Amino acid sequence: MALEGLGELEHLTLLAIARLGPDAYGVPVLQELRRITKKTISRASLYVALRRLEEKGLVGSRLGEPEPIRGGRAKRYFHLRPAGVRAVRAQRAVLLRLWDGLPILE
Amino acid sequence: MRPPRPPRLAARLLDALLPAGSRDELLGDLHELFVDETSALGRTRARIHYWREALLLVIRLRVTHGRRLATPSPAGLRDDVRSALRSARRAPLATIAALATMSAGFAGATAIFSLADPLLIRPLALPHSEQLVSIKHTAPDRSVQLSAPEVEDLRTSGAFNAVSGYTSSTRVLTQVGPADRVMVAEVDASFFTVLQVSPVAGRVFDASDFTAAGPRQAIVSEGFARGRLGGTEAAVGRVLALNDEPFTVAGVVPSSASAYPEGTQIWLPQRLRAMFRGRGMHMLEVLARTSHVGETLQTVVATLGDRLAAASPGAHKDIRLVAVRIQDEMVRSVRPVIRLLMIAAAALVLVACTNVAALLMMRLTQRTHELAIRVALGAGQARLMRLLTVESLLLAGAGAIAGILFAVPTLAVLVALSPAELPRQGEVGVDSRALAFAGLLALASGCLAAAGPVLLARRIDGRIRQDARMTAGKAAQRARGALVIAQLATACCVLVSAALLGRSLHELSRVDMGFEAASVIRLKVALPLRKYDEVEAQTRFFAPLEERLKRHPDVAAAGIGWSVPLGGVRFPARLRAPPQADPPADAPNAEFNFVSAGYFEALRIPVLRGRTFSAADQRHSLPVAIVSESLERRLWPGGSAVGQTVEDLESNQGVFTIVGVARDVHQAGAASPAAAMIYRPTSQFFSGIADVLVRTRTSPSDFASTLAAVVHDLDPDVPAGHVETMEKVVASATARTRFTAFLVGMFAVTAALLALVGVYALVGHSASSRRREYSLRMALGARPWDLGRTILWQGSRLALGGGAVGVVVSLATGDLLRALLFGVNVRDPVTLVGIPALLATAVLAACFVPARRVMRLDPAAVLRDDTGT
Repeated sequence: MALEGLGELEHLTLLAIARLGPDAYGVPVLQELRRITKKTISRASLYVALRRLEEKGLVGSRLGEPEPIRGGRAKRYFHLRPAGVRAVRAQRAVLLRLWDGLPILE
Repeated sequence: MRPPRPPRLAARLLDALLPAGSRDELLGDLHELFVDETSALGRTRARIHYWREALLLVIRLRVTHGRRLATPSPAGLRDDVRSALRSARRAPLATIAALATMSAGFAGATAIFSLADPLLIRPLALPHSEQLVSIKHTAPDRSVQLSAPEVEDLRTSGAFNAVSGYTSSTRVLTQVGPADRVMVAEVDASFFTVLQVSPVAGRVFDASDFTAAGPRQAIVSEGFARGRLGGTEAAVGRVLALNDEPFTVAGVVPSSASAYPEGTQIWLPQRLRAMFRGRGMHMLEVLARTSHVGETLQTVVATLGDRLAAASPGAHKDIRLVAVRIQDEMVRSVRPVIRLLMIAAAALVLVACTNVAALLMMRLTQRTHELAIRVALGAGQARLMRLLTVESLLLAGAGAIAGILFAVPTLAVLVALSPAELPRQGEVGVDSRALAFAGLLALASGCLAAAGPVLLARRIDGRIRQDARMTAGKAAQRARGALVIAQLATACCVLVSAALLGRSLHELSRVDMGFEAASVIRLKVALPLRKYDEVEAQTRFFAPLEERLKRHPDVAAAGIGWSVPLGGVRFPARLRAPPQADPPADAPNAEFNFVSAGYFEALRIPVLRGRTFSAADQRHSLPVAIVSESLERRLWPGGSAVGQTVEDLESNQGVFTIVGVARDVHQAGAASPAAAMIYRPTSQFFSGIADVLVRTRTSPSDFASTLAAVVHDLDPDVPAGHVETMEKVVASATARTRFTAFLVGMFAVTAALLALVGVYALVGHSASSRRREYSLRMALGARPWDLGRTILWQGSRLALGGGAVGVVVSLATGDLLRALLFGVNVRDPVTLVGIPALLATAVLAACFVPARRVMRLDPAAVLRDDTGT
């Protein structure tokens, strides 16, 4: 099944990257996740999730330019790859089907 | 306001521990978050968060996911390689020098490894060769074979899986192709059981082959069967003649059987005559297979030795039975040589590594500024270290490839120069094992060479300073000074060894051998037994041969001898001089030689007292002998031997009257004492084989064909073998020392040159980097010589340090060399002072060039050019 192995944080991260568009590097992704989930998510968990997504071929990345505000370090920008888009779509479809007929919970 | 800085320790921790490929982005993200949080939550909270995140990252990425994420990114490695190549291109001369050093070191080391591998490491081709031992009686001064009853005792003792007694000799092969000399072993029935060799065609010996009647059988090696008898199957049933006695080939065994005794091609069934079967007839070499090892084996053998001694009450009291692994026995004489050569080669590699390390350090000093910038931009120290290691490994790898290419011709030269006694020469070659060795060596020396620069690089931090060059430079300078001292010390040690060997060689050549080899040639003849089977027949051939040769106008003297000095053949004698009672415990060890009167003339061995042999000494006349001075001194201390009688206790020759005393001859080489010799006339003892010696008036090698023709003319059935000059025989006796001295000398000179390159590079570099300082001092009134002296003083300190360490190490490791020296002490003061002095002179000469350059500085020009930099 296509969704097997897509963890919750990975799912959320995919959506956060999609929301941020071209500006999706580590810091904004983390802030977006924290803002939406209202939870403290550690940078380490996010990093592991990002690497897994990359390994699964769901997101791609490129290195940006080093910037002084970052102590002279480069940023790594992430973007959704077609497989990533398919994965979130499929996930959404499954969730919608599951929600169907459960109005009580809303 | 100053921008907030994240906690330094945490940042460094991350820098060192995070995977290289993602270090930048993570540190960047953390930095950015930290800056945000500092303004939002305050400095302390932000720092705590930073620390927490840093630790979590390290734990999650290194510990939990370590294996998956820690693999170095190939892209980074490619960058390192590219950067290394770039920096190699920037300093082509230094790179070439480093490469040349490395390849010289590797060529030497690989060639020596290829030479040493079959000798010291690789087992013999025989099955479980580590179980094979050779057993002998050994006394302090010699070793003695066992007798047939003793071999039987060993066999029934149950201490060995199998025991075989055999004898080994060289015989003249005829009837199959051109006459030739072959190594033959006469073996008992269990020989091939001991070797664990089974025939590839035909059979090995069975009991019927050892009974006296019937045609004699032979077993040949596969190589011999293919080369001489047209293949293994075709060989069985062929007839060949050894010393003119026919043998039928019964079987063929694999060539691995020739491994011990090395070079044996034909095996014959042993038929000891009854007279040689006594307990005192020590004629047999013993080869045994045993599962005992080490201490146990020696204890077992010593116990057996006591039992054997108890069975023969007349034996020497200080004799012991000893078992030696055959592989150890074969290499015993060359082991110290090979070990010394391996050490010399290792020293060369070490010096080469040091040069590469020095090169890297020099580059590091020049690049301190650049590297500091890289660190500041986030390159990370681990990255720097990797860069340096990659650079060093690339140099070592390229050096190894060049070294292997050079190793092939080097090895060819080594084998060509090596003494004939070097065993297993056929197995020497640059093979896959040598390649693997060179690869490992390259890896090890690459890492070794990188160690110094990497340690230095740790001092580089992200602070970019105008004086960065100076601080890192000083440390580098000190480290390079230490390296150069190490180089000089290594070179000094190898030079001392080479000088000691050279002096030994000189001492050996100065020894008066007791005979004159110049202008003498020798021809080995073996009389065919069917025509010459006793003394008179032998005299019928030898006497006219000597006569004809003497009449030849080019011949100054001619003679016949069973053996020649340094010829390597010995006929041990146990003698008793009546009226002494038989004292077997210290019966003098002497050697027989069977010679004609011309032997003494041909070799110019003076007969000091009494007379030499003459035509009157015939088979049935009075049995006579001539003894050497040392034997005279031993048997008749203070008196004259002439007119005395002596009795042979071992080979049934009876009692002889001494008619003359000849001068001592170093029979076994200059390094051994003169042998106690007893000469008997060829006309009174049948030996069957002999060396014909001719002292020529013209060049001896021109006479070789004439000599062979004279022999052929006299009797075409006598195979005239190999002719060589006595000078060559003498030279081959010192071949081992010459070979060692030459090689160690080559290594020493190379190591010294490399060390001088190191000195020159260090002093030159430091002189040129201090040009500004020197110019200033000159402008302030210093005289050129004051500055030159500083530089020379720097060189002298290096030379003193290197020489001192070198002498101490030489003194400490002298034992490695002792076995190879002759006539010179390991702690020879002349060498131990002279060599460091010589090296110091060379070092000062190398420093002279930069010193002169500094003395000729134009201070105005330098200061003008350097202003503002």
